[in-house]
Amino acid sequence: MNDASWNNPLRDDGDRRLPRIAGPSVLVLFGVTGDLSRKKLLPAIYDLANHGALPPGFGLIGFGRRDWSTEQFIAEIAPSIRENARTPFREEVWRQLTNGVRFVQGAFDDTDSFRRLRETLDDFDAEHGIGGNHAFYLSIPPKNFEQVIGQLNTHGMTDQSRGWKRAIIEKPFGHDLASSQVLNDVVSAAFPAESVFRIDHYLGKETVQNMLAFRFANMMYEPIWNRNFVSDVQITMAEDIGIGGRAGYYDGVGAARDVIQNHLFQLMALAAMEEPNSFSPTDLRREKEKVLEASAVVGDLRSHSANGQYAAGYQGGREVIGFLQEEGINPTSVTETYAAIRVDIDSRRWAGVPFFLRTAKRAPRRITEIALNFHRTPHMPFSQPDIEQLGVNSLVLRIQPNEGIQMVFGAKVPGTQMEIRQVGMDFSYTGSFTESSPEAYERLILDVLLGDPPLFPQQREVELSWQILDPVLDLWACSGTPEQYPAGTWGPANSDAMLARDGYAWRRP
Amino acid sequence: MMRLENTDARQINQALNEMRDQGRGASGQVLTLVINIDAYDTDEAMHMAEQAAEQHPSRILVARRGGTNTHPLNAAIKATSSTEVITLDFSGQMDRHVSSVLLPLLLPELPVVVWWPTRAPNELYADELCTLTNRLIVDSARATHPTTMLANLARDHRPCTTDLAWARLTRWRALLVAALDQARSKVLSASVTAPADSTPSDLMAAWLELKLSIAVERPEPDSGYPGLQSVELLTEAGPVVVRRISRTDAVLSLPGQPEREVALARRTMKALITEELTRLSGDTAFDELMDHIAKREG
Repeated sequence: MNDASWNNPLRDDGDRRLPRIAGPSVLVLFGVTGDLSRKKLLPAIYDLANHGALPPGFGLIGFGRRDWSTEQFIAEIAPSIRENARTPFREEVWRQLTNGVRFVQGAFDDTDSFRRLRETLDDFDAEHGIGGNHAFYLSIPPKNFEQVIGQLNTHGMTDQSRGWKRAIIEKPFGHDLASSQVLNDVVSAAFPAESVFRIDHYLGKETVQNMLAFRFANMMYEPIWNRNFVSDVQITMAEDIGIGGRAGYYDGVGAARDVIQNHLFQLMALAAMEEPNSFSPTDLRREKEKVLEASAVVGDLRSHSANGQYAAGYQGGREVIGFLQEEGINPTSVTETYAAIRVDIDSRRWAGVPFFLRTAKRAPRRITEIALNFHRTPHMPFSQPDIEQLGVNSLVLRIQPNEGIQMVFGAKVPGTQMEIRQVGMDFSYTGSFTESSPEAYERLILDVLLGDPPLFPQQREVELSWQILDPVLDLWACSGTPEQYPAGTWGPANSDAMLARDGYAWRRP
Repeated sequence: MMRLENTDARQINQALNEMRDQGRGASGQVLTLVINIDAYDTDEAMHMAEQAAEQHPSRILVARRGGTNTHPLNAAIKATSSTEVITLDFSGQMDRHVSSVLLPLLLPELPVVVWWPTRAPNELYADELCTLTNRLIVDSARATHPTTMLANLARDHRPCTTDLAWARLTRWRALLVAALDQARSKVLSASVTAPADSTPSDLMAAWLELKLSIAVERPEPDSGYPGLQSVELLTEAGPVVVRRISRTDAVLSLPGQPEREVALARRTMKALITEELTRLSGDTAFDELMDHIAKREG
């Protein structure tokens, strides 16, 4: 009866109305008391339940050090779910979800607690007909991976022979190429490559999928999506906040490892890649890998990279302290909070088009975007004063906030003789479609439960990304304290100089 | 809110342009939704139209038909940053020339959807509004004679026409799919319990018939909840039952497992219409189902 070939006659691919529903499964959450769990993961799981995307009898097992009973655990997580869920809180959904919630108290080094986890899983399987399908979400520091995965292995919880076993891991995937390989060895010792899901929550955002639709479902952008028309591409992820309470994590890691290595390289790959033959995971990954293989920071590393640390100042009307004064940060730290690099992609489509990637803490505002700047018109039948106010044409894919697309071009100012000025044409996803976009984690968790991997980067992509970044990181490691930039500004002077030397300028996002 | 008495489409368009000039117009709209209601319909229909408007960045044309005003056409315009709701009161002979008013008010090129929230015409495709688009939404569950209406719909069905009675079943169907995933067993027979004249239940029974190639029993219910009450699939492993116990909950039982409560709230009109407008490309599963019903009846 439990043969894998069983086909549910009620399932129908043509039935687009039915929500994608995960099959019977249990999600085991390590690091359940962490910030990410409270703010993102648990609310996302509730939202999935609210959409009817989780099967009845779906299991959620929290594993943590606290001395909680399951009831206490449920009472603990209820407020954060109420507060952070995207969809309204409904008692009946909550009841259904909590029926499947369990808490296992334990520590990573305690064999006994993993035996209890195993028992809890076995009991749950037997009672709810889960069929041994278990996903392990490791929302814990990578240094604990080896221990936890080892324990799972010892207690027979990674055995794929009855039901699937999947591991979900979060960035950072190492701190350089070598360490990412070590980390991968640890994980792949227990889980085969197709069962490891690396979460990059940017890839779960609708806009990234919208980007695929935008580029490959439309006729009018493809002809200009190349070096003939594009002069440079600027990918920005800026945050208005400082490092907050993350000093322990951030010092020694820095902006480039935290953001460029994963999020920005993935965005770059999606923006620059050729059209995949299909959106199957293999085809999509192949195209992204081709871009990353052809990418490098070329020439003099010093002139094609820039870094900085935010200094005390005013950010958006509030006085804030500098990075080196933050609690828990070594006052002589050389960790950067601003990182920018110029990447060149050696391909027919992009040769000679610089991709400028930057990320910043304590920027003037929070924004993530990909901007394509176009060449200037080769000949202008207008006089210089007419086009004084005309900048370059650009196409901006805004990831967050307010996901959308903006086109910037010149238009005549009404009533003047002939005066041309920059105008923006804006399309907003939230404003134009009925359903509010699901949170990235909702999408990604459901994809894991369904075993649908196109949005998850694989080890090869992680390694290629480190290959691009490692030389720059090595340079910075021996360059002393990064330049200070006042909090609330768009970064240090050496970053502006980096573009100016090559004849470009940062756009103000 | 701007009111125009004894007006025409030209004046309405002018008013919309003026509002836009003053920065009160809407932008980023993705479709035109025509809502057809009767002048003597209660405020409920109007309320539903407003609910839909809340949710959808679109131009909404509420056509209130068969009024008894002195003026053949009165209009009221309300605009937010994403939606314009234009209520059109048709009286006297203007009622037979509705599309002449609607056609100039449709957004260029974007999809047009016509929705009858209450009674839809008996001869749906003969209605003048069908000249505007092929995307039609009706609601057999709210018709005066639901079963007759559903039979007519199935007989005349064309792709891109959908029935909200079908959207009411989405959660039920999802639950049954998930339940059968767990039971993993061949279904031998099925029964659908509901009061007579419930078209969602008719659709549920027909869907099970079609998908499982079995006859579906239709016992009368012994409790008083309106609408679909329970679905039972008798599998080789034992019965799979979904039974409603309140407006928000149902009980699911699976072979060899304890009964458990599952969330199964009755869906709001807003949720139903959102589901319809999310997929304008048609619903092949529903087309097949209507074919099946037509063949069975025919």
